[in-house]
Amino acid sequence: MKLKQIVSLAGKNLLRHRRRTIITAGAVAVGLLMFILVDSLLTGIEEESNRNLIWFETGAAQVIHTGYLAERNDRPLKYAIDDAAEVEAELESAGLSATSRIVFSGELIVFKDPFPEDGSVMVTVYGIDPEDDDDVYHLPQTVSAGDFLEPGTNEALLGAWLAEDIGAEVGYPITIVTRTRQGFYQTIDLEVAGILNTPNPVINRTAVFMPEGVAADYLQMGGAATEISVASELGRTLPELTREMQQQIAGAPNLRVADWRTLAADAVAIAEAKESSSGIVLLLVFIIAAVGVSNTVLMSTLERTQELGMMRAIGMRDREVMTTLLVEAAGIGLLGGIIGIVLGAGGVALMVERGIDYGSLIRDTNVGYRVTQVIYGAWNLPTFGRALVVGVVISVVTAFVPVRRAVRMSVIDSLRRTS
Amino acid sequence: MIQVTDIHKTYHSGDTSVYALRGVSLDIDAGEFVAIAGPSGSGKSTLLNILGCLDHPDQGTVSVDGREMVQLDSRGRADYRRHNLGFVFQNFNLIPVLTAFENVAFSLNLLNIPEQEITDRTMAILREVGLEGMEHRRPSRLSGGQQQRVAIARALVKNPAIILADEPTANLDSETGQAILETMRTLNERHGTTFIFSTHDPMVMEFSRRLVRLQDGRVAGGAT
Amino acid sequence: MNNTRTRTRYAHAATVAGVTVALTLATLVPLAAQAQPSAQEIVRRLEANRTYETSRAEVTMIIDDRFGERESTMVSYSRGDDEALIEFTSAAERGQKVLRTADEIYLYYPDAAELVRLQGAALRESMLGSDVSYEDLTGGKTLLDTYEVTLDGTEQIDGHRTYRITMEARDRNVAYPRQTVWVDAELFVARRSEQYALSGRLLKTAVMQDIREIDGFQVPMRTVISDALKRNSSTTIRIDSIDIGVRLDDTLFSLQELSW
Repeated sequence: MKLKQIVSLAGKNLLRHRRRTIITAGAVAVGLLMFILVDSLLTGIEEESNRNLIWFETGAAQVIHTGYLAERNDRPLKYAIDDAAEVEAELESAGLSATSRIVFSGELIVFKDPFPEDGSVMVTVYGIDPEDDDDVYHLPQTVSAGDFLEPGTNEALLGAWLAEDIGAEVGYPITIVTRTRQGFYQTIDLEVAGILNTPNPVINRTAVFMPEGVAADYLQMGGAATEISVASELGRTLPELTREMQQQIAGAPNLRVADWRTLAADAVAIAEAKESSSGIVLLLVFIIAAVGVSNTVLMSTLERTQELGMMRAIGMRDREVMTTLLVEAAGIGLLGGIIGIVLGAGGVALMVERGIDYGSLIRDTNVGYRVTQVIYGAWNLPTFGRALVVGVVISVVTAFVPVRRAVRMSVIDSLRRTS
Repeated sequence: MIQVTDIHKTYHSGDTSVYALRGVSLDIDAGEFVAIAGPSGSGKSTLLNILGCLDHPDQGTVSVDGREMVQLDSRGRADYRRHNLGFVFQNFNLIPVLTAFENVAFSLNLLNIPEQEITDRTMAILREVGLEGMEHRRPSRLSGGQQQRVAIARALVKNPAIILADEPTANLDSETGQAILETMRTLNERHGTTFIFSTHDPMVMEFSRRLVRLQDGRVAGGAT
Repeated sequence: MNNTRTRTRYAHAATVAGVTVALTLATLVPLAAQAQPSAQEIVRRLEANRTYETSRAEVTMIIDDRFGERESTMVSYSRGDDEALIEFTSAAERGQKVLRTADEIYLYYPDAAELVRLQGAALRESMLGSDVSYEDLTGGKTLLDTYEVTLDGTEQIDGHRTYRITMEARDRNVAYPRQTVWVDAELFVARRSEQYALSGRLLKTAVMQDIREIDGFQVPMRTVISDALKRNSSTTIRIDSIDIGVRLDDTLFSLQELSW
């Protein structure tokens, strides 16, 4: 029997019970709609999270000491880049936008009056060059109170959530307790010059910014910086950028280039979370289809038992019978897929346009995503194609059991069965 | 043409065994118009199923043109049925979503025949069974007799050697049944196709050229 | 501000005089020579006093901060300057052990049957939320190796005459760039010490009290350590009993023995 004839017969059988077909396809569509929406949301989160990581924490890529990466969570100053200015100049001479930073961890100490109470909290301190940090990062735009840093002053900028937690306001004195590059205890007294409200929760929660030169003095850095960040360049891919950087530091064996993906270990975790969420949604789709499609196919084989018996009696092979029934199931999946895609496109458009307001959820839960408040969806076109394929494949797979059951019955029994 | 030799068939249902056929032997020549008659439970359906390659005998042989049928596997039997047998059922068994034309063409579709030839042969046979002008009707818009004519056309359109009809008139009133039987006999004469019926309808027996009576799984009398 | 996790992270070192859990002790020294000794001499005696063969002590650590007062008890064994083993006996941390060898510090957690070697930033973490960090337990070089010492003069502390010694770090591989220690002029045991940050800011103060003579050694039975940057926070280390010169099993300070 020709495929065309099989498809035509399947199509006619689907039209036999329009309502049932549409309801079943609708169930598949709802599952696929969820798949598309979750994927859009996760893609949106991932895109924004990556952007916020790049804009506020890592730049597109960094030159760091070879030993730094493995211990970066401790922010070890011992793995700093000596002659950071020279390396920065070399990168800039190659046309790259670069800035150096001294990043270290410390304990932020505040005292009652003007603060509401005594306290201390672990923070990450970013010594930044107030004059060219914005070649790479996007901090000045996020100042929500006070002013940006002046070079050479004992000024600090605090992340907004951190400031709120400790009750800091512009003009308040703070003390950072940390260790110098060689390990001495050191205290740094600073005055809060401004508050930063960034879209990056890690910055908002734990970051203190101060002028790099002042940090260098206190930490006895002797011209060293912990990282030299480079901005992404239009028309240059990340591998091209890192290759270019690689060439500029070729003469320094203790330096290496790390792109933002490498630097942000939790970005990998995000990708995994995305995979597993998609997996869970797909499982849901599968269950919906398994229940809906297999039930519908089962019903349609049961009510057509005699008809199937006749078809087999007059010489249709079991495989052809199965193919016909599976094509019917595929048709349900295809219809569901199309409905799901149409609804999904609408839903995604809404999520891209309006976003979802998560409120304080992200602030209160420490997830790795670098997003705050409103989360926007993103268009991920391959997902639409995938949804269609998934709809068809899952429908066919779940139909397999009732279909096989139908041809396992003997022809005589099928014929004898009254519907 | 068909040689049935000492076939036995027993059905088991739980602990009880039903002896459907107990040593039936039968020769049917090409072009015969044979009725297999007997009360229900006499084994006529079983015999028809075995002749139609839908069932195996437990014992005995069935050969058609010297070819042993009992040896075939399920696919071999499906292919044999597809090419050589036509079936007419008591309750017509048309595909409700297909038109009369499509129902008839369905059995040719299985044979991978060029489309034009399918159309020509289908239209010709529909005309022959008297359904000209009704090709595009679905079964629901046809009377019982018309539906059975479609079924006959479907069986005959592929020019099978044998047509097996299981109580073809049981669901029809006597007038319509008679018309159907007349059509079948005409076709039998015109095409030389062997027709084998099962029936317990005296009218069908009358129409048949040869009557095989079954009783308790055995052939009870000779040909008439 | 209520970040309990982070507030304890930078617990600051105890004192030079050895109120660490290694519980270094001052040996009894003959009354000071009549002539005023040099700073080096004073520190040498201070250190010589706390270098002894072996000891076994039962110790209570009292942490007093804004969460209230908590007590932990432990048994501490030491041998020479380098080796020490602390086994906690209070309910919350019973069975936890800290082993210090010449070069390293290991923690053993009985619940997880897990042995952890401390390194890097982990050494800076507070022991049980006290003002003592694991780093403070590390042994090794003597004070005179790592610090330049000068005698500032004499001062009265709690009615005792003491030498005030200022110590400036010789190399930069120590935690405190500057310390001041007040050494009892008669007993050569520290009565007070202060640690400073590079900026000159006072970080931590230790006060030794209730100095008693035990088995011929002068032992501060109570040491109160307070973090100068955190008001209302102090850690008291109290020696409940101590035996000096006890026989200890040779394998006591080995890794193999840590998890028995």
